[in-house]
Amino acid sequence: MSNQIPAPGTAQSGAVGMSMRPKRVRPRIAQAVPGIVPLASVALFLVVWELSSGTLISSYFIASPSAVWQQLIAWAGDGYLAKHLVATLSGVALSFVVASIVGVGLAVVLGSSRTADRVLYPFVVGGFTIPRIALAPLFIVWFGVGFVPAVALGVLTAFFMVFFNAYSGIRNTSQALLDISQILGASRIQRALKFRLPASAPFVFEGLRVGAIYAFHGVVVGEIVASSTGLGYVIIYSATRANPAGVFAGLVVIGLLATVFVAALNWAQRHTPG
Amino acid sequence: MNGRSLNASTTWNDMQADMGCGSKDALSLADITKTFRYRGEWYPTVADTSLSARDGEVVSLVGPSGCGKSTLLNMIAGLVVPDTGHIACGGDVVRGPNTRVGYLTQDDALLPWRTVRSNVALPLEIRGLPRSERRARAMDILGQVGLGGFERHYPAQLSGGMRKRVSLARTLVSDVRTLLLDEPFGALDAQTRVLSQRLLTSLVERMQLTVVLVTHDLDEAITLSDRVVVLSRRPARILDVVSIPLARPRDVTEKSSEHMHLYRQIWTTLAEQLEVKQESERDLGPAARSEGE
Ligand SMILES: Nc1ncnc2c1ncn2[C@@H]1O[C@H](COP(=O)(O)OP(=O)(O)OP(=O)(O)O)[C@@H](O)[C@H]1O
Ligand SMILES: [Mg+2]
Repeated sequence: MSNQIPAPGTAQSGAVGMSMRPKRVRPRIAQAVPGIVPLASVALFLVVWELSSGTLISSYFIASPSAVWQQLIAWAGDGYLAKHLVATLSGVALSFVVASIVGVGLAVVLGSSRTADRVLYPFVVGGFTIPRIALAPLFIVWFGVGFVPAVALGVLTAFFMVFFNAYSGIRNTSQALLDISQILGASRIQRALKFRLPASAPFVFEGLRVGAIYAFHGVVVGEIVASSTGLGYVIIYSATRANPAGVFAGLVVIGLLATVFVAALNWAQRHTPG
Repeated sequence: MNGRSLNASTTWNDMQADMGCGSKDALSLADITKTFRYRGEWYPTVADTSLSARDGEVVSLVGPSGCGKSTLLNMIAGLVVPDTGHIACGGDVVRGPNTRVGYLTQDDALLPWRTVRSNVALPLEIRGLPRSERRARAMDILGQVGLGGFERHYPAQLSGGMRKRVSLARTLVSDVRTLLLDEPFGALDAQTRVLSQRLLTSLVERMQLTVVLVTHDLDEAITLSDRVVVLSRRPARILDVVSIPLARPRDVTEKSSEHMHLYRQIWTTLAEQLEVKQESERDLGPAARSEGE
């Protein structure tokens, strides 16, 4: 992971064979072009995969990269991919927004009121211990098969991440700040919104970041078990139609999407103050 | 909420009855006792302390570190409830957070996510004043503490001395008549401290403020105060109350022989406490105890 290029002067000065620590020798090219090693390893992996699919392993179990690529091209051409991509993305966005509002809101209430905390916290923890997927059948009963149960599962999965992070931040507001809020005569609500919530902003942001990833996971799982649209549905549909290239194509899109998603969230976190 | 009452024997009715007399005082503490409980042990922190400050008077509290000075201020501010005795501020018994005093706590506790102006305007925001008035008053008070032009900065972008002045501005903005200042200039370099002391003196004189000032700096105590209260090591008791009859205006940098005489008088009383403190380490408090056996 850390292909750090040593700062000028540091590499030579400390480690001229005399150092007690064994010095790791890296090939020059790896230092010159950061990222070339992972790229090469992925390329090699694809080549081995391509050669072994259909020869070492039945292509029924593992579709070859070229077959997956052809499947992707075909889906991209007839709008199939776009349709399900939009379904998944809008599901993730919707469940993330709902989970964030409910998660942060509930964290503020429970984090700043002892009574609310005593009454409600057992239910939150109780809900957390139930595997989210076990609630999918219930959602199907309530909402039928489709977009809504997938979103519901996404909301539920993301909610706990948002809630617990924000809650721990809000509960741990420094006593000095709470004292100031009292000295200035802040009401309960003012204390919660003007002191506790902003003071726990780093925790809240971390909760939102993790929550976004969990919303994505929840929605895809929801699509697999309870929907007729979205990338999760594409995978399960391809599987039932004995189309391994389709399954793999779906996984590739989800993997790429997740990577872009995480990178975007990390970028957003680095560019938010606090 | 803050700490626990040991035995709150005095009833509110008793206190109200006691309040009839002595209403000239801006601040009065009568027979205050406070004992903290920490990990199952009791720590007497303030013992039988009675203290008052007349309107417009500056009273300094000096005493060994950890003797209970901040605890006294916390009780006046209503953040800590005394076990016995009562506290009155402007003729009203203090119960619950006391918004009639401006309290500059030992750590300046600015809100790091707010700009200087927004920090200073916070007390007015809490009271629900309109935005334009909040801004105008915050800007006015910032000018008075010499921070005009820094209103858009964040606390992290300021020096320690500037942060203290922002806190001071925040305590002054709500037109309080009484200030509690807990080592306001303790962590500042010598020059900044002198400037801050001059600033405080002029503000206090102009606004006719009643001030309780906690400090470790005896020169500061003598220069700024009308009376200096010398406290014992924990539990805090009043050992001596020294009136400072020096003519005003005074300046920290000019120490008359009378100033030096007062300094020696206070220091002699204080030094005994510091010596005793070293002899009985085990009686110090939670922090010192954990290092013990
Ligand atoms: N909430 C609390 N719970 C338990 N003990 C406390 C609490 N607040 C203060 N104490 C104890 O009371 C004693 C006095 O504390 P205080 O902060 O009033 O001292 P101080 O005179 O202000 O000291 P310094 O000059 O170092 O600021 C200390 O031993 C401290 O540990
Ligand atoms: Mg203190």
